[in-house]
Amino acid sequence: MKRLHLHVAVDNLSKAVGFYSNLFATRPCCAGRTFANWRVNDPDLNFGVSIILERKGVLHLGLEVDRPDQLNTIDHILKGPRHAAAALPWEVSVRKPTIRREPSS
Amino acid sequence: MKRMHVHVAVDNLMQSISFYSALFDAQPAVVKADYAKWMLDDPRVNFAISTRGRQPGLDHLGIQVESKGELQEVYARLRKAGGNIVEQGETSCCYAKSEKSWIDDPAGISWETFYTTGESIDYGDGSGERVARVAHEKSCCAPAIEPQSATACGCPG
Repeated sequence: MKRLHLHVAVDNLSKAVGFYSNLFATRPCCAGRTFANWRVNDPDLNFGVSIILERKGVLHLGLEVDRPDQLNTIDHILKGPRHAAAALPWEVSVRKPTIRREPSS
Repeated sequence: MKRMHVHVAVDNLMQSISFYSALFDAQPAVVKADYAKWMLDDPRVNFAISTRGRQPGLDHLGIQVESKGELQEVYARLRKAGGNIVEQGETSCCYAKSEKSWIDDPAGISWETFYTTGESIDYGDGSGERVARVAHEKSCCAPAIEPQSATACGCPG
């Protein structure tokens, strides 16, 4: 399954983490001094914020795909002349598999 | 199950339909003279574009719900998130009849939470929409974003 990605610039990280954690009803999956990221299941979304002082708003949208061949197909579309009509930057990436390891007994 | 909603203002509807149909590998579910919408399941997104005189770029984001119960659940989230919530109630907008509320996020992006109950034959008279959007006018129109390489994506994981 593909997943939508949104990356947003904010000027106050703690305020943003509070707002989006409430909006998505989940805490960030990872965060640092300048960024935070949510993996939301309902609605299905990879949502990231970064501190960028000189601008606020959406930096780009993206599609996370499962396979490299899907990545190549979509990258070909994004590199083509039709991307000019998108009105926004788009990126494509391969969805990283989750690896969970249980402690050995 | 909820669905993300993205509404993008574009300059040329037909060229943008061509691009997004290729990107999503799907034809739009709704095409009007000034509007097109994809109801996608992979990814699960309600993606709309329009030529309504706004500056090209992101117009707003949203969370679409499938029941009144989910609507109340997300409304509760909005109240917890804080900020100014504009309760629009039942309205016709974007060729659909919906019940919705609006809130601005810390990035200045307007988010709508909505439950769609049917289609509308026109875009909407803007009666309710205008009140909500005027309240958000300073922030609803995201700054035009020029296509460029974005900064690093934040999360390494």
